[in-house]
Amino acid sequence: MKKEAIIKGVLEITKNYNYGDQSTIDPDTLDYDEKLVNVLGVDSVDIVDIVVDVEDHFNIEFIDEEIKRIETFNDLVSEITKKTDKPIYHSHL
Amino acid sequence: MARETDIILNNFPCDTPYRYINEILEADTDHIVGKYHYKVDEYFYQGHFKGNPITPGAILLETMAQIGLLAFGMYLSLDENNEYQDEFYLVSSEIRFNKIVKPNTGVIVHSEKIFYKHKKLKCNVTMQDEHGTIISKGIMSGMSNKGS
Repeated sequence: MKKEAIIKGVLEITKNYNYGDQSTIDPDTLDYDEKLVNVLGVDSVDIVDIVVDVEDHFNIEFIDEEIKRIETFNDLVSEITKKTDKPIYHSHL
Repeated sequence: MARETDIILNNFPCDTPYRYINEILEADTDHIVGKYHYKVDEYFYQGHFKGNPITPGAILLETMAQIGLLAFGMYLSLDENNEYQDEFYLVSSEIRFNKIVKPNTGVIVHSEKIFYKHKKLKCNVTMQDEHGTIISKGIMSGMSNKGS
């Protein structure tokens, strides 16, 4: 999946959790290396909701260890990229 | 189901006077229905309010959490040995209260799973009286720290 599509999906999801300044998730000015909790004003409990929405949106599954690595927007985009770049093998059994 | 619900009730981490579950009426991987009867001599009626006992909203919320998150989470996390792996603590709630609850009232709590993932359980929870009138409803979330 293209990075642009991933970023678009992530921003679409995270805007529903933005309890802080709405302008902070403007795609043109967003600091993708800033922590999600700082940009959105969420806590670690909300991050799980974001992750679950991301899983549903991109049809992927994270394990708990992967979630622990997600702190910034870039982390999230990177973890999604890893999952969506994996080839899908179809069984012919 | 009887065996699982017995396990939950026998191992329930809350006890008198802070246990608000008498019975589990239904449970599966999508929902749970439980019951509690507020007795006339519950400790909080002495002060809430003087001469006009009404069940505090905090207790209604606790009842919803004990049945809708704690008991449900125990059910969902039962392993093959019938040991529960998750014990959920309320972390957020968005509940609307519609009706006061007097002493000697039975309530039924219905909790429908929104998701149970990554040690978090999020549910639509409704409390009704025994006539089916909605007392309170909304969304509740719990996180489990069991095993972490």
